[in-house]
Amino acid sequence: MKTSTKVLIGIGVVVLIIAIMLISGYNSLVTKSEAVENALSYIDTQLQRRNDLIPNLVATVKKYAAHEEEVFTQIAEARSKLAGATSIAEQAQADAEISSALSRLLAIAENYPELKANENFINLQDELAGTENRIANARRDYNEIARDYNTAIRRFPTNIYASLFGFEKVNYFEASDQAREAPNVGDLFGD
Amino acid sequence: MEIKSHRIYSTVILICILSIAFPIAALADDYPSPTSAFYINDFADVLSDSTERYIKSNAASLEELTSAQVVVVTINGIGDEVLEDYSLGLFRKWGIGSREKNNGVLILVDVAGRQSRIEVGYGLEGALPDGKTGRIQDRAMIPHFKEGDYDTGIIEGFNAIVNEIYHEYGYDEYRVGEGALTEDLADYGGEGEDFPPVLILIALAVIIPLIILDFKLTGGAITWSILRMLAARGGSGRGGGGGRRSGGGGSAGGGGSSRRW
Repeated sequence: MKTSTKVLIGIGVVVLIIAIMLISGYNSLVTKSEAVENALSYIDTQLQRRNDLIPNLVATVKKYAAHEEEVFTQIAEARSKLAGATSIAEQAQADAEISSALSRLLAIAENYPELKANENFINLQDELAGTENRIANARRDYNEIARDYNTAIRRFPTNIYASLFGFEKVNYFEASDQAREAPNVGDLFGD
Repeated sequence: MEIKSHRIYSTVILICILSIAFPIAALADDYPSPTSAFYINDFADVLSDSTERYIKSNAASLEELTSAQVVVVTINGIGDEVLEDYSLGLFRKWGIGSREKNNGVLILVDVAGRQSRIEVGYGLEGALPDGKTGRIQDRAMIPHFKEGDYDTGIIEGFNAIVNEIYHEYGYDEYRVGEGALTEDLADYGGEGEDFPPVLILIALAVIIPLIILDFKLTGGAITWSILRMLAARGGSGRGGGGGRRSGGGGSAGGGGSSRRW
């Protein structure tokens, strides 16, 4: 075999190897990016579910504690704030306000034994606590998935072509007070 | 010269193994390991032998039929941990439920802490919504726990959960104990899923020619190795007839309910 042919084959092999690396690196980024999207939309689903629980919860509490106007107003305001939120920051803020207004609502229910014993109320309490728990865990899971993705697009050699293909860094959820709401809601049981 | 490069290679390999092993060891949290029976873990030692046998055999049947895993854990205190976090961490560490369906349930009873939680895997959140698990605890478990009767409380809670799962998968005839919260069954409209016969015919029409081709070209090598792989997957789930059981790799997201008494 001529030397030039050998060289060509050698170059061909190297190019092939590089191509395979590029392709698998790209595909891996796609997979991770999808995982991030999935995690985000799962969080949104749970937030939506919590929102859907609220009217029922408020209606049930009103039956027994009609004159606790202040807390009902707080919840209504927080919900409309969330509906009108245009940025992620505004959403997070409104979301935190909803969480704390709900905690206040459940705390008030402690003063009304008939309400506390009401099956429908207990059911809604469980559903709400479960949803808050899911939201907190979903955010934690998202952060891990986001970190995995962010690390991957910074690694060499993927970082070279990552931004070329539109893979941008994603934000994390801050560990805020709302993440700790879940245990608080749970503490309102019994005792 | 040869001896030297051997030593270099083995040192490099050893370093590689250690650098992988240490991070993995660091991940292992403070959770206990499951017993060899897997389904029943009476760390607080409050259950009788007959209760343990009951749980073990019924949970095994449930897994055989539906791949769902129901695991009972009693424990004396969880330290400073929040119950919900501890429960989810344990659930995920043990991988309760099958990986494909995430159909696991953890019944965690903290005897010393007087708190209990039912943790539901992603795949069973429809069959066991949070409110229902709360009702199961309120009706079947907590009243007994208050009297210190953990055997009855756990068996009744376990039965209720198992029955809901059987119902979800269309196995009503396998119900255990007194039955589930029967008034809730009216909520369920869904039937078990049927495999459309057309799909099966199409699948066979594709697979059979492929198998024939395989036997002609490779003497059936591909078919046999696929069959072997499938057999291995099926076998690992059942743990070899009464032998060691383990988690199927399922996960959960935090659904369920907690109670204190």
